[in-house]
Amino acid sequence: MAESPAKGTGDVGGSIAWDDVSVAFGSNQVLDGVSLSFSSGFNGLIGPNGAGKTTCFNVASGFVAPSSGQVRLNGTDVRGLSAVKRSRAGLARTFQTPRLVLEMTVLENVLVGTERQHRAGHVREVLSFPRARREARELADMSMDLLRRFGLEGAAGQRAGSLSLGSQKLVEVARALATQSTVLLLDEPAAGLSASDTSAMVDGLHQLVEGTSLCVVIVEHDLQLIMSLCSSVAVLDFGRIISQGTPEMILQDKAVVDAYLGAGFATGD
Amino acid sequence: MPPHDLLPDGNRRGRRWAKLASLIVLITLLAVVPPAMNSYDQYLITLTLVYAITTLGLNVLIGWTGQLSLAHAGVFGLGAYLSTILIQHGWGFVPSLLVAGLGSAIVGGLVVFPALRFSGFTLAVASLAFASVIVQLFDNGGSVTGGGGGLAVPVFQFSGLSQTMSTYYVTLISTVLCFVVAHRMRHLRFGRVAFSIRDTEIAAVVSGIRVVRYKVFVFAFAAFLGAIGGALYAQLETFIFPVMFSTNTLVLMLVMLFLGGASSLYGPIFGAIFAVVMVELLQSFGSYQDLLYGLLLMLVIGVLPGGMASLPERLRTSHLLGRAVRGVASRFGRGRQDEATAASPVPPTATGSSLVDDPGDGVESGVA
Amino acid sequence: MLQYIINGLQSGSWYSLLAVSIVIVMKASDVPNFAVANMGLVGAFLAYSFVSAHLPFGVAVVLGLLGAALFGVIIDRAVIQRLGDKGHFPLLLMTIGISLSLAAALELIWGTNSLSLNAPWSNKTVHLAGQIINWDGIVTIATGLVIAIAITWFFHTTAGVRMRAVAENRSAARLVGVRISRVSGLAWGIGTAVAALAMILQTESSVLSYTAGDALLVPAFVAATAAGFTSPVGAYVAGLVIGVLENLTGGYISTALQSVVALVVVVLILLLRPSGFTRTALARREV
Repeated sequence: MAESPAKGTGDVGGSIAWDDVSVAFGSNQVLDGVSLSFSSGFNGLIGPNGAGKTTCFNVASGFVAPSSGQVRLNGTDVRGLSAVKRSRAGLARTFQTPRLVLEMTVLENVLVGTERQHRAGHVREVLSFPRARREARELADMSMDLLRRFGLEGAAGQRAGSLSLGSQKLVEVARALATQSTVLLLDEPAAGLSASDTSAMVDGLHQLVEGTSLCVVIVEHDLQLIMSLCSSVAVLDFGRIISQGTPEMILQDKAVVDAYLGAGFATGD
Repeated sequence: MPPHDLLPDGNRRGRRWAKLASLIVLITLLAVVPPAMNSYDQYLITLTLVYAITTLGLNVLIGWTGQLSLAHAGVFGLGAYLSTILIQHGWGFVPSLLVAGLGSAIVGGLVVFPALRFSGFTLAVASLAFASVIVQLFDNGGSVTGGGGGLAVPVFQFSGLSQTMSTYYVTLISTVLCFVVAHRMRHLRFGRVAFSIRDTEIAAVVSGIRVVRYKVFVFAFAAFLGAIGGALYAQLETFIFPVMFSTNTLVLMLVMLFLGGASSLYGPIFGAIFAVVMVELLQSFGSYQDLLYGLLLMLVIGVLPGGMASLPERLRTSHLLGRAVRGVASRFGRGRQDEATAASPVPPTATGSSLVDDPGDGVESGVA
Repeated sequence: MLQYIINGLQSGSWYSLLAVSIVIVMKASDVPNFAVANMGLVGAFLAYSFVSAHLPFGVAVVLGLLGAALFGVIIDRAVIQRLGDKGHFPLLLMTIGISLSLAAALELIWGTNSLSLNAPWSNKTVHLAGQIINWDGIVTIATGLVIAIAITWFFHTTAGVRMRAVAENRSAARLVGVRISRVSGLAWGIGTAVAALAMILQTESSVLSYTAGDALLVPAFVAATAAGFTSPVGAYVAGLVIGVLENLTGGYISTALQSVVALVVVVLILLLRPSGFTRTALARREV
C-alpha cells in the first residue's frame, strides 16, 4: 500500500469541474461564470494576482458558497456537502501558507492526513489492540514513504516548526497525499521555495502521481513549473477563464499573452 | 516535548521503560505512604489528585483542542450533585460516580452542540451561561439539591479504612486511570486530531477530520473528567453547596491549567500541587486569597503562557542558562534530539488560532 | 403586566449598558471583557465614597464615572496592550483574572457589608396610568436610552470611525495612521464609564456590594452576543428584551426559571443564525 497513495481509487479517474461558477463578495465579482474541468494527471490554473484562483479552490472545498453554478467532484455534484464531507468524498488541498501543527513532529503532521484510513477506532487504539497497532504501523509506514519521496525522511521526528518554510510546504503536500484522495488541489506549492525544494517537490509529485488516476490541480506563478509538469492549463483573469488547453496552446494564445504571460516572460520571470 | 511514538528508535524505547519504572515507583509510593500521614495531609493529597483530574478535563478542552469553555466549574458541580443525589437514593458509590460522569458528559455534549458551529467568544459566553444556569438550579432545586444550604454527602467507606483514606484510594485509582487513558490519547491519533483542530482547524477539515464530532466528544469527555473530579470532591468535602462551584472555582481551575501548562499532559498535576500548596500557605490571609488567585492568573497569562511545564524548555532556550544546561545535557549524550525540539520557541500555547481570528484565506468551515 | 415590563426595562437597561460597554471594548481590543461588571463597580464604589464625603450626588456620580474611565485607561495601558500580540485567548483569560482580583480588592477596601448608595430620587415613587412606579426605574430607563443614542452617535464621529477601523482591520488602520494605543485607551475609558453608570444605577436601586456585578454579567454577555459584539443599538435592544423576558418569566411562571431565560435566548440565537455573525467579515478578507 505504500507505493501509490491513489491506489485505493481503482480505475476510476479523479476529476473536478466547475460549472458556470460565480462568486461575489459584496459588489466585487470575484468569479464570473467560471467553467473548467480537469481530469487525471497534472493540471495548471494560472492567472495574475487577484484573478480568483484561490477562490476557485475555496468554492471547490466548500469554504466559499458560490452565488450560482456548481462544482462536480468525480462527476458528482457536491452542492450541499460540507467542507468535511467534500474532503471525505476525495478532495484534498493545500494552502498558500502552510498550515501545520508546529508543535507536532513532521511525521505526526502527515499522519493527520490519514484520518480517513483508520478502521480500528480510537477505543481500540487507546487499548492497544493488535489490529489498531498494525494499522497505526502501516499508516506510519505509508506516511514515511511519502516523506521519503520528498526527501524529508530525515526530518520525520523533528518538530514541524523547526523546518524551513519550503520544507513545511512539502510536508503539507505529503499530508494532502496521505488522505488518498482522488483530487488534489495545490495552492502555490512552489511559492517561496528554494530551487532544491522546488525540484524535490516536482520529483516527489512526479513519482507519486505517475501511473495513478489522481487528478492534481496546481495554482502557481512559476510558469516554467506549470508548463513542464502539466498536460492541461487554464488561464483565469478577472474572474473569467480566458483560455484552456495544452501548455503549447496556452503559450500561443494571444489573449493570454496580452493579459498575463507577456509581462512575465518579457522580464525573464 | 512532542511525542515520537511511531519512530523506530531503540534508544527511545529504553527511555520509555525508564519512565514507566519511575511511574510505577511513584504510584507505589502514593499507595503506601499516605496511610502513615495524619488525616489532614491525607485530605490535602486527595484534594491535589481531585484537582488534577478536573484540570485534566479542562486541559483536553482548552489546552489540546483549543475550545474555550467556561462551564467547567459548573460541570464539576454537576458531578458533585449528581453523585451525591444518587447515593442519597441508595446507589453505591462507584456506580453513582460513573453515572454522574456519564450523565454530565451527555449534558455537556448536548448543551454545547448548538454552540459548536461557532468558536471563541460565542462559545465562551454560551458555556458561561450554561454554568450559571447549573449553579442556579442547585440554588433553586428545593429539597433535591438542598438550595443555598447545600447537601450533606453520604460518604463511602471501605471497611477497615478511614473515610478520607477510602476516598483517597478511589481518587488515586481514578487519577491513574484517567491519566493513563489521557496519555494514550494524547500521543495517538486523538492527540494529533485535537492539536490540528486547535492550531489549524481548516487543515483538519480538508484532511477529512469530522471536526464537529470531535468537538462534541471533547466537550463530553472534558465534562466526564470534570464530573468525576466533582463527585470525588463531594466525597472529600462531605458537604456541598452552590457557591463551591461559582466563577471563583473556575478561575482556580484556569490558574491550575495555565500555571501547570496548558497542552502539557502532566501540567494539571503541577498546577494542582501548586494550587493546594498555595491555598495552604495563604489560608491565614483570608480575603487576600481571591485577590492572589486573580493576580496569579494575570501573571501567568502575561509572563509564562506555557506554564510550569514549559519551564525546563524555556531555561534551555534562554541565553545564559540555556548554554550551560545544553552543555551538561550533551555530555550525557542526549542533547541532540532535545536541542532540535527546543530550537524553535514554543508557540504561545492555545493562543486561539482556532478562535475567531482569521481561519485562513477567508475561509470558514461548513458553508453550503 | 405593566409593572413587570417596567421592572424588566429597568433591569434590561443595566444589561444594555453593560452590553454596550462590552461592544465598545470589543471594537477596539477585540476581547470580550469579562471584567466589565466589576470594573463598573469601581465607579459605583467611588461614587459611594464621594457621597459619604458629603459631596452632592450629581458631583459624586460624575467623579465616580471619571474615576472609572481613568481606571479603564490604566487597565488598558498596564495590562491589555501589553498582551496585544498574544492573541484573543490570553486576553480573554486576563479579563477573567482582572475580574476576580477586582472583586477581592473591592471587598478588602470597602468591606463585605452591603452599602446603600442613595440618590435624591431613591425610594420616591410616581403614579402613572394607575400604577405606582419608582423614580429610579424611570431614571434608569431614560439614562440607558440616552447613552445608547450617544454611543451610536459617537461611532459616527471621527474618533468613533477610527475605532471601527481598528475593529475591522488592525494593521490597515495602523497603516493609514490610526494610533491604536490611543483608540484602545479611549475605548476602555468610555467603556468602563458606561459600565460604571450601569453599576451605579443598579446598586442605587438595590444595594452596593462587591458581588453586585455577578448577576448582571451573563445577561449582559448574552445581549452583546445577540448583537454579534458589533452593534451598540443591537446590544441595547437585546439587553432590554432579556430584562423584560426575565421579569415576565419571574412574574408569571417561576422566579427559579428567571435566570434560565438568558440561556434560552443564547441558544435561540445560535439556532436561528447558524451562519454566524462573522461571515461577511471573513468573506471580505478573501482574495
